[in-house]
Amino acid sequence: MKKFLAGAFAFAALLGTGCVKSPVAGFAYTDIKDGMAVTGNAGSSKVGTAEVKGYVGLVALGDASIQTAAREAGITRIHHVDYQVKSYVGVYTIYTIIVYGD
Amino acid sequence: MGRLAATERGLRIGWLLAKGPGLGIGRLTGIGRRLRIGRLLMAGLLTVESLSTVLGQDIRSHYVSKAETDGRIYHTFPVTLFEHSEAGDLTFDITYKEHREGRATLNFTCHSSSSDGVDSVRFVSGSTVLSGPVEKLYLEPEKRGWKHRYTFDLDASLLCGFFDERQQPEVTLYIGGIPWAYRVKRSAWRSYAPVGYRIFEMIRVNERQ
Repeated sequence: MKKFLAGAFAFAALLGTGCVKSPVAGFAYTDIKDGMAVTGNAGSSKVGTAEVKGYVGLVALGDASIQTAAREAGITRIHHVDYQVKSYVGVYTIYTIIVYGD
Repeated sequence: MGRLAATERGLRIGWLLAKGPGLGIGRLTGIGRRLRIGRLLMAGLLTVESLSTVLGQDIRSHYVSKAETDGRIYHTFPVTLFEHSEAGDLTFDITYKEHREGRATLNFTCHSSSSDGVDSVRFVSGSTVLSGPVEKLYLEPEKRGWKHRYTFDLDASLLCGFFDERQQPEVTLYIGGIPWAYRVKRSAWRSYAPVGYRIFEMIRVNERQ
């Protein structure tokens, strides 16, 4: 039982760090922001976000698509897209897409 | 300060649970082993919870900002502070762009069994009132009922006054002229109000310079 739990925990931690797109990711704790895409559209006055959450590397729920984030703020012309990831030992992970545009 | 004390308490309980009797025993019985594993899991969860509380005090995790040619844009991440006994939670986020005559945009999501749209909204906190007609962003079906998303413009100079943790704010949505009152979740408000205040105080000071 103990070995199983330890194995599950290690697996979750590895999965948690593996899902980070950035070249830098922490095994124990991750809190990073990074750029994802830039378009030729000028300026932005609206910001929309969308997120997915992962639990113990076993369950992941949500919709972090660019389309969803843009729709949350009524964005029709995207200027650029960022993302951020927070992870606590892979046990709890939040992945957020941030869309800027008009 | 209250949150700091709670965090310290959480970390201490986590440590005591992990350290408690049974951990020093070389040969554990089945029950003892299970207790030990349970304690370790509990300690881990409490530590993670305490860490997230500590991080929650840092306002940087509650907003993003970007410098652009026509001014800096700020956005607070969605937060759920209000609830209705029948309709459920109301989640909102605020976007502010400098040099736009001090106007901010508040987007909010609410749920309803009906597809009838919201006409106007009123956020009240003490003597501060943020109100106005809303514009629909989208309406989509859910398992039960509908998910509504709206946007409305407000005077950003009122936001510092709105995020006053001593108040018990309320949100009223008007649907076909009928008011739907959302009550504040007190503990969530006490945690978030100082964060909201600091964000909009920072924006105010930055814009003035």
